[in-house]
Amino acid sequence: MCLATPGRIVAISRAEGAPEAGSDLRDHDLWRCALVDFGGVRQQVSLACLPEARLGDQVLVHVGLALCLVAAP
Amino acid sequence: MTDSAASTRFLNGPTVSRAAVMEVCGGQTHTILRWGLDQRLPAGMALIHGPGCPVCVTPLPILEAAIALARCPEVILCSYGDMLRVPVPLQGDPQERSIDLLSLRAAGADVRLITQPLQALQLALEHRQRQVVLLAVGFETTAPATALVAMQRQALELSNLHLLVAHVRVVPAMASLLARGESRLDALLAPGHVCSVIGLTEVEQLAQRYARPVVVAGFTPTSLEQALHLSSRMLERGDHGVRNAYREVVHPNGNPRAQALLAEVFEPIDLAWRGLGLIEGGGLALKGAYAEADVRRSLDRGATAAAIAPLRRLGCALETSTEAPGASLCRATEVLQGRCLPSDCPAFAGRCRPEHPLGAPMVSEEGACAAWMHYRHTR
Amino acid sequence: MSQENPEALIRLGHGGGGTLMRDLINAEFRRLYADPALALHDATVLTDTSGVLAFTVDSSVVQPLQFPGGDIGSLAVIGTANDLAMAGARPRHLSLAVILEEGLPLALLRRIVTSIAEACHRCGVCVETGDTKVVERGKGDGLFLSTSGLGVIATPRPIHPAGIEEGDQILISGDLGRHGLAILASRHGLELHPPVLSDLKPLWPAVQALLEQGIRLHCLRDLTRGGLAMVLQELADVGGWRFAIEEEAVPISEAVQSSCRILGLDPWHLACEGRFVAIVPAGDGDRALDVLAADGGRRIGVVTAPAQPGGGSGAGTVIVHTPLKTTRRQHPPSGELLPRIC
Repeated sequence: MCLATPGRIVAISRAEGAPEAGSDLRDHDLWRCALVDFGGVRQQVSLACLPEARLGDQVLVHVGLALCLVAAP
Repeated sequence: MTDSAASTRFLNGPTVSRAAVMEVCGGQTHTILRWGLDQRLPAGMALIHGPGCPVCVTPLPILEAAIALARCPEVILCSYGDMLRVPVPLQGDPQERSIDLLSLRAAGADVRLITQPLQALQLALEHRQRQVVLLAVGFETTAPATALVAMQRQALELSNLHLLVAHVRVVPAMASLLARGESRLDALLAPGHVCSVIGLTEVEQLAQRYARPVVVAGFTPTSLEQALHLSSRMLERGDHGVRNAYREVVHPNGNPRAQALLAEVFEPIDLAWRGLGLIEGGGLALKGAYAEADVRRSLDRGATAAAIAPLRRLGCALETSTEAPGASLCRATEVLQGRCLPSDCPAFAGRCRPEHPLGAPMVSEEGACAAWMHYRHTR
Repeated sequence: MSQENPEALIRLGHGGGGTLMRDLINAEFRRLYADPALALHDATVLTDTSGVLAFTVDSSVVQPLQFPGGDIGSLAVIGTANDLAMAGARPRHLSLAVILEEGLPLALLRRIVTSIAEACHRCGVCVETGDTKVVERGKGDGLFLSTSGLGVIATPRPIHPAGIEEGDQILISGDLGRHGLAILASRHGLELHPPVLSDLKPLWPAVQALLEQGIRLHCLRDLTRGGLAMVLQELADVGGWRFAIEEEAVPISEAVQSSCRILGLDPWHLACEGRFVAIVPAGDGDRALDVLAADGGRRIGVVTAPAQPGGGSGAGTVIVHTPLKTTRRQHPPSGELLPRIC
């Protein structure tokens, strides 16, 4: 169950097709997304559940959503 | 190693005196069988494969509604690859035949494979004249992504995107397994990715209530072995409670933002899992304003209204194994409850194979029967 | 599409047998032919056919038509030539049937024909005969190709899985899954960084190098659809063999590993178009490895014994020894590779 893969954030942006940015902070989080590198494979993922994620962070990604930060072992 | 030797070590018959540990999650079943971890278990331990495959436990009325919706010409039905192969019995068919979404696609239905729920949103944006239905399955790991789709749908006022929700909650199912009289489970491995969202509180309450050791486990062979050894030590000492063997990912509080998304969009409901029966609080349903996106409301008109009729049976019936085609043979229900091995089933590897599955655990690679078929079976 | 110059698209008339078709063949396909005068003739005559011949047929229906590291044209030619090489035959002659969908951009067709020409050159084959048809829009997937190939056997006896013997070593010519990944990535929106190219390449040069070293080739098989898992199972089934494979010895690139993790696929199930398995007697294993190692070849296992006492067919077993000192059986994929979420 729940195939999830850790990867590193290499860019942060606002989702394509998102409405004009409002002033509402919650709205901002809803559309925040990142390009994540998984050992040479890159995928656009949503950061809606990880407002604290920053460039260079390791995140665990499941069905295109970053679920949590991955601590260094 | 021969099959018989493998099953001896894997044995979990009712007479076994060894400690029975259930890995609840199908992803962990897959790793265990692919890497042969069952061949090097701590002494005195036997494994039972749990029901943790959301594809396998999706209630039949939801699948029947998905099939009926996909037959409607205005509908684009999208879901994940493992969902598209689940066999759905044709009602009243004397030959007990079944159909799946892939065969429906071959017959002309517009069924799309997606790998992320946000792709459904894109489809709805690209096909404004069509009705896009997202068949959303998965545990609490996957549900936040569906919640996000529901919120973005609302923000974009995308009235042609509809949700057919089959999300299930894993801790109520674990509780249901422990509460059953026939339960022989001595310890549980909890699914790490679910816990990365929900945290440890719910699992802690479960471990205390049923006085069992529960170890939160990851998905790599190394991580799973650590969890197995930890549960073995807890069993030896007679401990109960929760230990976290997946600290790099699982924070005790889980992900509060993901929990907030879930609370915003969903509410727990009682749901009859395929193969397990009614589980109190075992499912999630759209609530409040988000219920507008539920196919039961948004498509309750014309041809699609008839298509969603099976959903009226949802949650009110205690489903049993008699639902599977070839039910007289298929022992999926017992497999899902850890009461028999896949190879104990008379249909296993004969009438029931990955290319024509009878029961749900043969469908997804996560399913105990399919994993057993892939990595254990000698023809 | 509507703003395109209608002159630049394939029309039904291009398959009508009239001057439009003649002009298309002259403009686009003629350059492929060994004897361009034959491009519009009904049949070709082959004169240099001494020796034992290998004959094969292939159809190409890949989407997308162009993918990183190749396109449907190079895939059709190289795939056909590789099937001949796996029988121990030097590829020589090719037929090429083209089914075009109405509306296909001529510029795309031209790029694919150029790629066919280059692939023929790389494989040492010539197009000897061909055919062109056009189907209505919506009834083809842009372009289908059907090829057949003739080659001359260069081994003491034709190569066939029946040649496998107990104690043979199993070698693989390179890493798994790059072709399958290149196709899947374009279908499922995975951006590969750096890009992963299909492993598509002619296999005859490697087979020839093995033969030049005097390697006794008991069996060869290219790793196409179904991947390594399918090939090993099929070969084991022919003689009812038990294969023992060392998981750690099977080369898989990091990009293929990561993509498979994301999509929930098994790298052993991914297709290759430029990799093969060679089964050779134990005494030839080291020298065969010397030839293949330069391109990433590895020794991955051995033929241990008949799976059932007394052998027989249809009962082969592939046992994989994992790095954890455990074993598993490896089964081929059941059908279409579907990404999973759980």
